[in-house]
Amino acid sequence: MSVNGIVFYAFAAVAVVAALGVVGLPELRHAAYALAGMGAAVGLLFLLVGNELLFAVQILVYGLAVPAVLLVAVTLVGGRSRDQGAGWLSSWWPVAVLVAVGTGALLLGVVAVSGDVWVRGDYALDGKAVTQPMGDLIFKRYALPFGVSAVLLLTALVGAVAIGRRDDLEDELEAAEAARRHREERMRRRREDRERARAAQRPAAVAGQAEGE
Amino acid sequence: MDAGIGHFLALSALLFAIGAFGMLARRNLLGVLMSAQVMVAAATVALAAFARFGYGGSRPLSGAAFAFFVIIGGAAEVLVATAVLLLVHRRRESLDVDELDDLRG
Repeated sequence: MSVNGIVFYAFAAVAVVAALGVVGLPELRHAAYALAGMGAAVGLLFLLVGNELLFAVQILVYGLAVPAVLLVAVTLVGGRSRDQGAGWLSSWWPVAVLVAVGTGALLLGVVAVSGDVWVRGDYALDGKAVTQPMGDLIFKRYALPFGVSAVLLLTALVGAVAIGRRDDLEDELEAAEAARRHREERMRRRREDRERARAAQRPAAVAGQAEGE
Repeated sequence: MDAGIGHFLALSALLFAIGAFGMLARRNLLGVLMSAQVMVAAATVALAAFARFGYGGSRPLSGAAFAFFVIIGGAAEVLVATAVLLLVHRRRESLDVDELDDLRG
């Protein structure tokens, strides 16, 4: 086996193990770390197909940015969440096993049956940098999708802020809740005061009654 | 033996199946989101392999450009989905898929 094959199997094994970690680790932050590992392994596989631009993008996005965002989310959700730790499987997991096995068998079957039918002139890059042709391609032939994806990212950014913002209704609900709690507290205190006053009066009233007799 | 397109496609299929399992089986919605990202990564592996081995002579690197756009789309997805999940958690105090089974806001 050549160096190329050994490197492929090593990184493929890392990617698969890390993907199993993403799916199977009960603690969500461990799963996020596993996602970073899988992103890095897949990025190194991009290097193996000779595409250093995809390698860089993959490492930056899936090795760093996405796991970082997810870790922040896990931290924010963290302590109060009831559904972390034990019982990480939903009640539908048998269906998931069926679907996963079916999908995997179907895809692997297609790959096995088709053999080399996909190969149309092995595109040897001869160690040349691929960033320049990629740039040409993205900014010329795929200029419109590139522009659309820029708009998509901007929309996602604005959308995330808009969704995450507290809206007026939420503020009103919270204010109403606080007012209710305040009123209950005041009534409880007044009731206590009244009881205490009655308790203080009672001996005097009893004494007055005794005098009258 | 060098790794050929069959190796990469088999790896892609395996990763996709693992991600599909996680997406359906994980209880926490953030875990579901992470599993979806595994599936996206599986797709990019297949696209990069096609760029390298398939139709390489006639349309060089188109698959890699598609993988690039898929990565951008995945990042946008994570951004918006995370915001939505944080909102869900703030309103419902839970991200458990077994509890969030109604369409009430």
